[in-house]
Amino acid sequence: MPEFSAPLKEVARMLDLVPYLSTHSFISLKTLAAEFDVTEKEMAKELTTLSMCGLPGYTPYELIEVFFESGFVTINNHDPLDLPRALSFTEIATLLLGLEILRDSLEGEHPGVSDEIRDLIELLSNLSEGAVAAESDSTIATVAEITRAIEKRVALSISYHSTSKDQVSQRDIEPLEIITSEGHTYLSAYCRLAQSFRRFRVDRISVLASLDSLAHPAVHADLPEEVVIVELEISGNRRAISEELGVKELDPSGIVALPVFSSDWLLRNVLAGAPDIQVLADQPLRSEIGLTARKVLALYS
Amino acid sequence: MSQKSERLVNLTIALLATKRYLTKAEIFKTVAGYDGEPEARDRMFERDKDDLRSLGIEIELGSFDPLFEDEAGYRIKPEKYSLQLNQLSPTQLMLLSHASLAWKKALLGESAHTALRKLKALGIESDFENLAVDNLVLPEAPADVPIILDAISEKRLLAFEYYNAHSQPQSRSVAPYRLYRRSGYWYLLGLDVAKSEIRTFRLDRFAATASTSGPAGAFDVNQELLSEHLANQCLTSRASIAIRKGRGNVLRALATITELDSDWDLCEVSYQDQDWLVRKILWQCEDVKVISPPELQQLVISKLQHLVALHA
Repeated sequence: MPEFSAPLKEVARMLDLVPYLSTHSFISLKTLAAEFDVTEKEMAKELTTLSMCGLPGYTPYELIEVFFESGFVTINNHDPLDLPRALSFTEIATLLLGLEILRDSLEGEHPGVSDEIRDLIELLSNLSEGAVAAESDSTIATVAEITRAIEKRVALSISYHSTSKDQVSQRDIEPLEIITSEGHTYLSAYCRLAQSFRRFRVDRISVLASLDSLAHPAVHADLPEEVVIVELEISGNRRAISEELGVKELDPSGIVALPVFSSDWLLRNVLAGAPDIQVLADQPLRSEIGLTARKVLALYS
Repeated sequence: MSQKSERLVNLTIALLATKRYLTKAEIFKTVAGYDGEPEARDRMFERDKDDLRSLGIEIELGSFDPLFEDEAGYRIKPEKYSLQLNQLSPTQLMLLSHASLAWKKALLGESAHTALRKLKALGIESDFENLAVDNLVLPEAPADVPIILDAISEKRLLAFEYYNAHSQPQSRSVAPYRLYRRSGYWYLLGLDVAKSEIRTFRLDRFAATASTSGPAGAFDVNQELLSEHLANQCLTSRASIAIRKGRGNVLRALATITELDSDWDLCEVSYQDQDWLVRKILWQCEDVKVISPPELQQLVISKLQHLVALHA
């Protein structure tokens, strides 16, 4: 949003006031001030200024007539300014990005509305000449669905893809809360399969069905997790690897002490990032990595 | 302060109402508020034109009669001034209201507010009650988003510090063309001034908030480079890989699959980014093997050999 000076903001408001008042006769000064985000006093002042504006000549025939002494506002003689102003590029972009969130949040909930949203997106996208876009984001749809389940206190049947185990499992869960951390969105839930509290990456969840209502909301309890600190040296495309491993700030040496919850996860990351991640001190882990890499190489011999 | 806004509103009315171009002399004679010395008046008028333009009001310069070289004049065309969406249904207005609410509390709040104000002036009854949208999921938007939108709109250069592949912040100067969100990330696409190439930048890799630099109207979108860039993005290569049965779900989701033997499936994958594909393949350890193209197979093998040497 370009920060306009106070007089310019005032001009923008006055130009928007005229068409607004022409379709909202007898609106109360109080409502009007709230709609335009100013105090009643400021609004009265702007209405007075407006009543001194009009077509050249500026006789009573040419001036805009504004009445608001009764506390209710009417406007007459306002022809040339009767048009609502064009949306600016930033306003179009704001609506467009908002519509896209709406589309993803409502996915599957209001089928009839989806088509209307698509049409509007196309319309605004043409107005912005394609300069702004948001692709459909399935995570938003999943979060919306889970949030509804949390509010209605129902359990969900989900399929969950664990990438570190490369397994898809189906499980029934009692959703507790949505958490955002390090750029990812997680669901904290009680898992009936594991019979304990678990955290799931939302982008790896597919909701299969809503289940029974919960008599009591599950009580949150964080399980202590076993963390091992592993020392690594990162080289090559350091940015990509730091992002994958969740390393916020990387020392210029490339050496980092990384808290690791699952050695399986680290092993796969070291292979995926080969040869840019070297495990330093941990001898058993180093052997395991070497062994796994040799096994993969054996596929090609 | 109200003197200035009064003059600007009067100028807008006069330029909107006229059917022909008004010369500067006519404007000074008829529009209220242009008093004083000729020079001061001229400066005042130039500033007023800039101010109206910054509000998005297009003032057209032209001459009334093309056959005579008369003095150029000014007008505002109503069709350029007025709202581009004039035929909205009550449902559409309701959806746009909800869309603006999505950002109301966030950093595009002010634009959301003014956009909605303009839409409401249409006087269409919105069937607001019809749709229960109580839990919109708002993705996080970095503080750079409104700055980038302004820069695109005003065609100003953007300066920012960007983490390069070695995680070192580097200064960039970019002519911004597009802003988009994909798979949860925000991207800026634009012309990197130093490299004279179109590049995309991920907003979460900005080392500090971007800022605009230099005057408005600093560039035109290079359509030729842009279409070339977009066409290149659609270019894909194909790889054949073997995936062990029941494994490699991420890769399977992208592939067409046929059976190879009782242990393996043959998967054809299209890809644009080789590094990305290699990561996905290696992530699967013993469950995925590259069959072709040979360069890809060789790349995977050499990376693994390197890794073995590092951990010997």
